[in-house]
Amino acid sequence: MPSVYLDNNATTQILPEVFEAMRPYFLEKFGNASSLYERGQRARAAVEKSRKAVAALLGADPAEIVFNSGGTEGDNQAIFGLVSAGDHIITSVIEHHAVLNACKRMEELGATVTYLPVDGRGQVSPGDVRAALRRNTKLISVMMANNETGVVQPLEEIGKIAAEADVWFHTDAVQAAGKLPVDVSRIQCDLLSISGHKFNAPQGTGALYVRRGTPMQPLIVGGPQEHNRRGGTENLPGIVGLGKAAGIASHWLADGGAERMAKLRDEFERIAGEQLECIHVHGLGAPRTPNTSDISFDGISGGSLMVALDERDISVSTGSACASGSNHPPYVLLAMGVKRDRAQAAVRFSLGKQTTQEEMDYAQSCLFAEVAKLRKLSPVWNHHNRKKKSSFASAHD
Amino acid sequence: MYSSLVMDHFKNTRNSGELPDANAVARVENPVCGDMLELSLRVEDQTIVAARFRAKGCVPTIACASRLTEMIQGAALTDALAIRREAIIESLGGIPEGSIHAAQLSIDALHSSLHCLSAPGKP
Repeated sequence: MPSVYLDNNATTQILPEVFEAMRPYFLEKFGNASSLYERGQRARAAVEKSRKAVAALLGADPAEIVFNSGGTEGDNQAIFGLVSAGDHIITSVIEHHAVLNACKRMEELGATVTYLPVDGRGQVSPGDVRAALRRNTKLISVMMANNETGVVQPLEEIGKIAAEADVWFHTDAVQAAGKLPVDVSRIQCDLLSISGHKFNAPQGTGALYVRRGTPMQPLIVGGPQEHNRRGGTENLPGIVGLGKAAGIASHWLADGGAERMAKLRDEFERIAGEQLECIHVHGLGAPRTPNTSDISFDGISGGSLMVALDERDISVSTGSACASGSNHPPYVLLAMGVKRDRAQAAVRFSLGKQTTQEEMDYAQSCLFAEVAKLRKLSPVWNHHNRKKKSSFASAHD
Repeated sequence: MYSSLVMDHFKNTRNSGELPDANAVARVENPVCGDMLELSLRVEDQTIVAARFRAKGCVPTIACASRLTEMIQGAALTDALAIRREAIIESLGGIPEGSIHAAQLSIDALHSSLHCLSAPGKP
């Protein structure tokens, strides 16, 4: 069995057709999209074609798409580009560090921030958003889908609250775009960040949706590129790849790709729940991205399980970072009220568009063997543990 | 990320499991990361004649415990107590700097189990 890649929330493989679409723009079709001669104008046409594809993926107008280097830049741009000292931001405790650390920076610069909690399923309460509003609230930033659990936030309700309160609304849709239908009109967001490498485009590509009329200051100043919203020569091959991947994602979503992926994921969880005792699927019961399954296996360390699976050439992820010296369990799970031991026993499986049933079957057989091996070694895996029910089983029975 | 020796001890643990006739047993936990190690020893005539371990934790925690059991099995108590965490780390070809706690956990388990052995009223 070849390697099985189940860490698509970290990054995805570039699709061959995306790579082929990019190739000429490294070679014979190179050019600067700002140049006025033919070569430059061909580059400009390619950039604008991609802009339309990205806009279509998000239900936006092409003029509202600003190309950038990815999710972190988009998140930073949204926050630093709108908020000033004295302003108030509402965000959540489960945001990506690109949002959390930008908010912390703004606190250092004189802004105030409310970090909203999440419930046991990993969702922010719209009521909490409303209650956190202040006279000086400038921005609400709540992610569309969480990177660890895949849990989707109630953005339409939050967007309605933001619109009623006349507060700018940003969402980090990095883990949602290309996996779920995204419609900026339904969400009523003013800003939305996406990252190309999360949906089969190259790393270092991305875009920020900026609703027309949003008074955003650019993060990167320089030339007049992107209508003065992001300085710097456009990354022509990257943007072409991003546009191609966006087009493929739109077709994939229209063709029921998300439903097929969810079925593959759900079957994986169902069989795991049947075969393994005491496993806990985080975010179960909440709407989730179709590709993500975050599971705790009681009695063992998620980090060890990740390495054991890696030895079988299966790539998965864990939010714990023991070897990096931080020793902290995933903050997202702790925020959901998951106990430390269980949070440290979590492993994230994230499927991609190319993931096959055969790969999932293989991963599952290896998973069962490695969990059994680690539990046999564990001093806390005993009869007492096995008497406890699995939160997966209870939720699905 | 890990040395081949660490990975070998992780994949092919030495002396893992329980020791039914153990007369020195300790379970220690790293309060920071939650890693847990249970060390069971059979000590006869001031010598560790058998050692077994069970562990829940990161790869270095398992590898260090596995390696420790090799180092102490057949060792005189005085020699076993002289083992330092650096010796375990070195014999494994090194571990990541952030995982030093894993070797310390093994040393703590060894000392705790032998303390249990010497405590009055213990077998």
